[in-house]
Amino acid sequence: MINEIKAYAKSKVDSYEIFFIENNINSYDFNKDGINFTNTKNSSALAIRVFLNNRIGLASVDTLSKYKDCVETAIKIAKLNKKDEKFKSFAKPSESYKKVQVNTKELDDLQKEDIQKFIREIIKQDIGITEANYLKGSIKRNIVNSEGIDKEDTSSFNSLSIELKDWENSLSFSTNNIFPIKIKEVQEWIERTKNLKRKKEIKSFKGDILFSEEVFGDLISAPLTFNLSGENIFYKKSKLNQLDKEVFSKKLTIRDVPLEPNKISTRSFDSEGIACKNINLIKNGVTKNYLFDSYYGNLLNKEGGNTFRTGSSSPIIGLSNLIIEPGIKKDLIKEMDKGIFVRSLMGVHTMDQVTSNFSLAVYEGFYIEKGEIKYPLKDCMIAGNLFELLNNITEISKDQKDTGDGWLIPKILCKGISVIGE
Amino acid sequence: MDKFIKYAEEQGCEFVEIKGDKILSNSISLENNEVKELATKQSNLFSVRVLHQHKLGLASSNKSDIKLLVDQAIACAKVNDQVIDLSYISDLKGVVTTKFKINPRSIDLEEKKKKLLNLAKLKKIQSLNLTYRDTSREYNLINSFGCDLKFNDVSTTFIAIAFAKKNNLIEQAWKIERNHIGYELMEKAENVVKKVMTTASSLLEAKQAKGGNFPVIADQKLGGVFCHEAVGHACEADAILQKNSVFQNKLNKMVANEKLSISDNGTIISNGWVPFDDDGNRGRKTLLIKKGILTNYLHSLETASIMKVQPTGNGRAQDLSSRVIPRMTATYIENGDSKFEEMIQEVKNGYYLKNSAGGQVNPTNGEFLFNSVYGYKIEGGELKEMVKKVSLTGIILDILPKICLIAKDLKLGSGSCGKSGQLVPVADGSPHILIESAKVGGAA
Repeated sequence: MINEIKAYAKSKVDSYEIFFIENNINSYDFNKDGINFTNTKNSSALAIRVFLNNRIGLASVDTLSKYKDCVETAIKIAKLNKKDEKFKSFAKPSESYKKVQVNTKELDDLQKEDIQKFIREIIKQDIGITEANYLKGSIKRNIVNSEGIDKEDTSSFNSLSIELKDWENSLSFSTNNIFPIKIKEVQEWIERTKNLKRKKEIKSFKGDILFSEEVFGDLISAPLTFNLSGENIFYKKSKLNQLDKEVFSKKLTIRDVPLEPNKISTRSFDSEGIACKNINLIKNGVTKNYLFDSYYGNLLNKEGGNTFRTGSSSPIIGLSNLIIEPGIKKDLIKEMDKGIFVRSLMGVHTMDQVTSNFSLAVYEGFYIEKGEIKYPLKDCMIAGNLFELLNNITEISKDQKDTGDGWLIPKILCKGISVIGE
Repeated sequence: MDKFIKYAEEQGCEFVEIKGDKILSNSISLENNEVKELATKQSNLFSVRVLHQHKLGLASSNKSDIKLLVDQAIACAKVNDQVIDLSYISDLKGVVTTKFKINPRSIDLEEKKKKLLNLAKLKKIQSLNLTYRDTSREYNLINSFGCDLKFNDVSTTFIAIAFAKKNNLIEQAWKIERNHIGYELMEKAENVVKKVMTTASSLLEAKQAKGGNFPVIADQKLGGVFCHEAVGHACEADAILQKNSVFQNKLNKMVANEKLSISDNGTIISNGWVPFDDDGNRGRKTLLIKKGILTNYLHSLETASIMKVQPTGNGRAQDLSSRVIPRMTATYIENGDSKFEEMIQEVKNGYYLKNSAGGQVNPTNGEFLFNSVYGYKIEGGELKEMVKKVSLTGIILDILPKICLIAKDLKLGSGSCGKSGQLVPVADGSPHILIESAKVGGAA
């Protein structure tokens, strides 16, 4: 069918790009009393971009069979658009594509009965599960364009999100993986929920904050994507508008590694069909690379390869698998005289990604004094600016942790952050 | 469709529901005075929900093979452990059509593009992003109990995002206008653009607020998000069933200041309009808090059946492929009798916080956090300098009695609510409210 679409598009326009995605997902809702709702979803989307008389048009439909409609609508849209002098071409094939290792056999072999067994094993654990969902799914992508790109791949994933409750405390956890999720992970979450008893308030102070791997990943994700996006560099919206400039602590090195084997965002090519590369984003505090799609890459003489697509949308610039290089010291709590250890924050999605100012409530946090955890925190906030925080990193832990999104992150210790308590 | 219902019943289903959804949307987005994207999207989705041997299953696809979806939904139901009996299943019939002054389909895309380009000429800052979208939807719902509903809907969206820059300082401000109306929504567009540009520029000069406990006046948008996050979510019956709400066992008890009344109302033409919900039940007004007393929870068909009460028309799903769960529609604090000016005069040392940058709540213990976009310091009963985005945090049951003054200037705004991985359009609103004391995040 894709060849038929290619031939049809070729007969109608100067250049084109065909993106087809198919998702199959099985979803299980459960709580402490068992599985209460099961759902199967099969969906697809065909998005076609055309370039005609220097004008771009995008249209999308839900199935391959409606391709003629899709091409005609994209042409109609292109005719309405004004000439785009900045557009050079759709993505050109990369010189070479690295083969990536993605071992989904274990997950693909997982049967409904295995999933039921896994869910029952979770339920058996001695904790209140208020709400939980397990998903297993697969995604197939086809990307073809008039420049010669013709790529196809499939990926599988499973994810678990769960809300656990112990007395008056509840915590939400989630993880994604290409390997079947293990019960060990859930047991760790249970321990964390139980450790929240006897919360105490503290007085406001400015001091050290140790960020857990998950919290640090959450905090930097949106601001880093915004400020490293080639599009925002082009429109001068980014605060990181100069390469090779030291902007953060020398201790900080952040890499985007789509070619790292067996991670959730591991892929050989991006959603425009451009070969992915492992790159340094920040090296020893210095901005080294931005993230590009082909459009803004062409404008700034850079290669693309950093896009994602949901189906009907245009390619969106984003991060894939992220690695933050580890430090030397193993136990950072021992390094702290007075401060807090933050394991979960409330409202991270409300943080202003442009200014990177934050003012967030601590969901799961502990007061630290003289290198020891004293008690869990009640009614406490932290406030500051992420860019300043990244300049005030004092230590990075030796151990890294896979945070459940394919990101490998160590613990990060920062100084001089406002802690708002009583 | 009757033959598929019959087929499902022959397979042992006690309840069958078949839905179809056809969506067509056009969108234009601008980066400054350049068209960034002009796009059109069409999609069809079909779903079958069954109750098979007292177990619920759902299957969905872009393809209209309903018999296959019946088989898949039954296979899903068989996986469940838990059983349920559905009561008060809807047998509502009818056609609902969105009323509009100007049909977006009657205006060609070229004219819409010109309108946006004219708005972009107002730009006096670093960068201005404008997005226009109109969506038409044909939604059909039938079930084995005789329900037969059709919704011919039109909605229009306008989004403006302004970026102001001074040296290396960048600030942004944005506003989203969305409603079940036609192209007439764009009459507001010029004011929206001017407002976001002014806010973004003013933020460049604004100071950081000082953190601590202060009296706080919330404007209509922040008050609306507060009532949605802090009260609305805790009233959703699935949270009650999961023993995951601070309002559990609190029905008919005093939970707030006696001046406070809060409603959820699916009948208002707003971003949260629900003429009928995704269970086929009629949308309605539900009083959640009446003069400080908790009076109702919000139900879907499933939660109402378990709790043996009538559904409230709050069963909603992001799309046909998602589970129907209790969700809010338009949730708001009812008007009081105070004046905004009186409230300001009441505050010796506090903040007036405006607009919302979102929030989060833990319904189990009632911890919440909301972010305002900006605000003003209040000193000696007078508004003083502007402050940057600050957050408000606390515990629901502690803060509700502290809402001590309520103005009579209720306004509804549009928003989007996320829960259990599903996003649905909602409206929220409030008059100006004065909270005696709340924790404000800022510099220590």
